[in-house]
Amino acid sequence: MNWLALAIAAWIFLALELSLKAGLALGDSTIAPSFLFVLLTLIAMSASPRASTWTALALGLAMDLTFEIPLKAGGPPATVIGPYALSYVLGVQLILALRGVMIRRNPLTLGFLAMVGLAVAQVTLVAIFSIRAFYDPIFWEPARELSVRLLSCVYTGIVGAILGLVLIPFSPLLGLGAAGTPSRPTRRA
Amino acid sequence: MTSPHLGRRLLPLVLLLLLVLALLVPVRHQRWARWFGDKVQFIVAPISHPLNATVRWLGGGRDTPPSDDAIRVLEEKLEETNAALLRQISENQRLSRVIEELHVLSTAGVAPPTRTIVAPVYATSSDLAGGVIRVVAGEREGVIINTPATALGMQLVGRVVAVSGRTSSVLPITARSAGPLRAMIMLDAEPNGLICTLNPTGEGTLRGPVEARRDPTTAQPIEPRIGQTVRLSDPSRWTPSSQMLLVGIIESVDPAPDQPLRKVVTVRPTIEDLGRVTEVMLLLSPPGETPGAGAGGTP
Repeated sequence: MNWLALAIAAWIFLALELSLKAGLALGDSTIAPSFLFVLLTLIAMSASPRASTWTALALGLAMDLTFEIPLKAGGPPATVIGPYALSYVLGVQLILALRGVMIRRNPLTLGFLAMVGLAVAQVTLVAIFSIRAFYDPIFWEPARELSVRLLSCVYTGIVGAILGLVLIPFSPLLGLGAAGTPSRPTRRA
Repeated sequence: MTSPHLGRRLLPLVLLLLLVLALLVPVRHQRWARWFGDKVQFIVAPISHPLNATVRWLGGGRDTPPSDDAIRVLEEKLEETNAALLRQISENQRLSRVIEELHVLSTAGVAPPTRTIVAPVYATSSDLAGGVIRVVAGEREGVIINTPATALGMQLVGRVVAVSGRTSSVLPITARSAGPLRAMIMLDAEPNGLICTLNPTGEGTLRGPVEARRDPTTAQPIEPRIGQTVRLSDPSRWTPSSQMLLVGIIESVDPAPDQPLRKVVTVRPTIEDLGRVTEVMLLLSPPGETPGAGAGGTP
């Protein structure tokens, strides 16, 4: 794993997340793809489980720090540490479990794994914020958020499959080995 | 990154810490996280800002001003003058009432001047559920919480909900979490229109009931019509300088579900999606100007 290359890629994909997401949202809805999770999926498809989990933590933390959740009282929106980081870790565990039975060189695999991994992450995220809503004055509508976020997973899957055409050939730059194969044997913890 | 042994022991500890922060620590005790968030936004801004502008420009020009600069400037000036005129008329009415009621001329202040700055939008929240847009203007430029933001043409976009040294977060009026606002449906050039309370629908529009009022000469009910202009008239929650700014145009008029004789209007801003503007104008107020202190729009 080339951590420097990963840091640069994360920087670029976080910028894409902050700039393209709103522009690509469907109509007036908030259904939009997640670029950062596509990058995470690419890494989780090939890197060691420990490296994948640490990457999920770092990228999730970046998402947490750039997500401002509105408050009911109309005060300044709040930043909460943890929900995305934990959700991404759980999402990555599913990808790690599934990757052994997938054809990793296929861009559709990237799209599919991004979709199902993000679905797990989003369900976890909705659960965390729904629990928080019991004692925190956050503006949160669980049913609506869940439906919007699950549709966003499908959108992310489609975008992931398209991005896979570019990302998979470039994965050796991240130290992931040619065409998405592990650069070194993985060892289960 | 770390040695395998250290990494194996550190990971459960980090996960446990995140679990505690995610589930148990209230948001009021996590305000420090905003400082780190600002730094992350600052680091990615060199990429996100130009990408943001490019994509929004390519995305159909949702708030693209007319190609002819002269027309654009004239349109802005016209709308700005209209809003200023209505504000002044409204202020005159308020002052008249103050004079009549108190007979103390000195208590009536004049609406303070407003300074505007143009602030480019450089990013949105990483999660669109937040609905906020981030702009390049902060405390250094004099931006404070509740500073109103407009788009070119004086369309009200929203207000500042968080501010740091160089950047601010603006919550659009159409965001679901923005809450209700009081507005006035303009019947003519006078600020004596129908008052309505509008709530964001989450689909880019605002919807709410309209006051029931009858024409004093004919005793006929005054009803809102599709295409009428709706302006902000909420002195208790918005600064005086933001009063009479354009909220939108009435898109539909329906009977209220529980009171068929009353009407509910749906208002759409003149810009297709307020969350996707490329830049905003911040109306900076002089120190001391707070919501409820200035011009009112109550007829």
